[in-house]
Amino acid sequence: MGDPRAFGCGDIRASVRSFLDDLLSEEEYRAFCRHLETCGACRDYVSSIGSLANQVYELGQSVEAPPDLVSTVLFRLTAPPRQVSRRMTAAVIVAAVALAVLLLSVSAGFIGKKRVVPKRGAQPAVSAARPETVEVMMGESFGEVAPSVPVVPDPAAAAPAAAMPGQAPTLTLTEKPVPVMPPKPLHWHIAVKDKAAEDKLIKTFEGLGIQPDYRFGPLLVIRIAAEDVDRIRAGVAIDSGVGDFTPSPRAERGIRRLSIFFDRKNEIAAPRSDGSFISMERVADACLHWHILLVLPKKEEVFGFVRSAGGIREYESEEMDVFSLPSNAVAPLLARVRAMEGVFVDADEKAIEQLPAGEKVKLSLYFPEK
Amino acid sequence: MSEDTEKKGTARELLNTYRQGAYALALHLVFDDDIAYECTARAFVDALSLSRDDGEAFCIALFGNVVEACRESRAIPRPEEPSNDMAVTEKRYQFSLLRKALGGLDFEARAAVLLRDQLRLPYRLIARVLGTGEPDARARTFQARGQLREKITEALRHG
Repeated sequence: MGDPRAFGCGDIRASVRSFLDDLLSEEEYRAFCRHLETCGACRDYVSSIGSLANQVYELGQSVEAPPDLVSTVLFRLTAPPRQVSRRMTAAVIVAAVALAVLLLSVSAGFIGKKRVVPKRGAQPAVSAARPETVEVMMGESFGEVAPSVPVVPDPAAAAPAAAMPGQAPTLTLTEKPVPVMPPKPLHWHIAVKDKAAEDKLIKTFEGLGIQPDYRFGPLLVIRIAAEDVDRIRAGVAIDSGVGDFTPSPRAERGIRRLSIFFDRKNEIAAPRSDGSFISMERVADACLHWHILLVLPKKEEVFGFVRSAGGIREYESEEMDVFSLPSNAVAPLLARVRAMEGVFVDADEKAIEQLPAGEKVKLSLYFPEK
Repeated sequence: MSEDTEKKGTARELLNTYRQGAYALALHLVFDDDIAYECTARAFVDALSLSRDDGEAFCIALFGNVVEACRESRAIPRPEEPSNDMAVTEKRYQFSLLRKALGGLDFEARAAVLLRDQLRLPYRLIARVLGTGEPDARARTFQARGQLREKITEALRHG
């Protein structure tokens, strides 16, 4: 820090945090203050900086969570578990369980790491009444949710997990999260018309070693590496009708989204009702921009209130319509929609509330086939 | 209101309450938008599958899952270099210095200081999130702050 008797502007910069956190020696502290008395620029500088702890706090506050985080989590919570059979046969399940039980019986330790769960004592009343659950990580990823297999483990292995008196602990096998993700993955929103299209799609991506992330109704989301996009575009996997990615704020951060719709002929396109095709760019655009997504049971039930809420139809397909509507029309619209049965709403309502009144918001409506 | 809608509403409330903190924690643990996004999403799904009561248990589960997922990602933190560009505001410069210093800490130290100073969790909860005792959580945080301060001073000297 130099000679404490004569602090320069550089010394102030280097020791400002120690000053604010009261970590300077008495001599350094005096020198620091002496310099501040004579240097207005340094005074301003010091007052502009809070303590280290405050800086760390402000750093956290400066981060904005991606707006689609909420919808992603809600999707995953709502989405039915992927079919384990595609990735894990019954024989593998049995073998995995047998292996887990065997290892538990010969060792007091667990396989892999225990996941973080709320600790006993702080559990809410509902979960406190449940039998003790021990989660064991499997060595391979077998799909989103592996079956829950109740077994009675070795008591020594289960300790010190204090099970509820009189209740046998339950061993739950879960997949191990994929440890390393590709550096710049892409999110693909893929809507499929029917099971055949879905099977074809799954097979195609499996052939490329790509796993779907999650699924809700007709919507699939797949994270893929950029090089796979090129492979797909090159026609290795599917038709080359995949449109160009549309720039968006998320795209600037290296994340891109593309929605692919399959018509009844399993073609990669979004058909209009008049038989023409919407450019993939426009479809991608709908999902790239921040939007509200509703999955609705019947088309007829929807159009009335969208029109009454001031929506402007941008384009439509057999499966999805995209409307623009003013932000102040969203809250009453959602209130009405929520009263309907079987509607899935994916909207960042807090963000909508913060929008200036009248700002256009995109509304995507899906009409999955029953 | 159906039970499903109610559950979804509760989940959304919790997401809105904690998403910023959880994502900021993940981002400053891994310094990669995509991995932070994925780790936060997973942490929420796991925590919401266990409990939808907004209490300590949820907090511990959520932040514990974020830390665990980030730890498992084994991401190598690569915060951007502080810019010497005069156009960069002082605040942004300070943040970039801080990010660089945080990135220089080991994972456990980074987690401790973020849980305490960024999320302002009490040591009692930090201990639960990190799976350690309260005195240890205090000691870790104190040491981590010291290391952070050293890193910042070092960066300032070399910058």
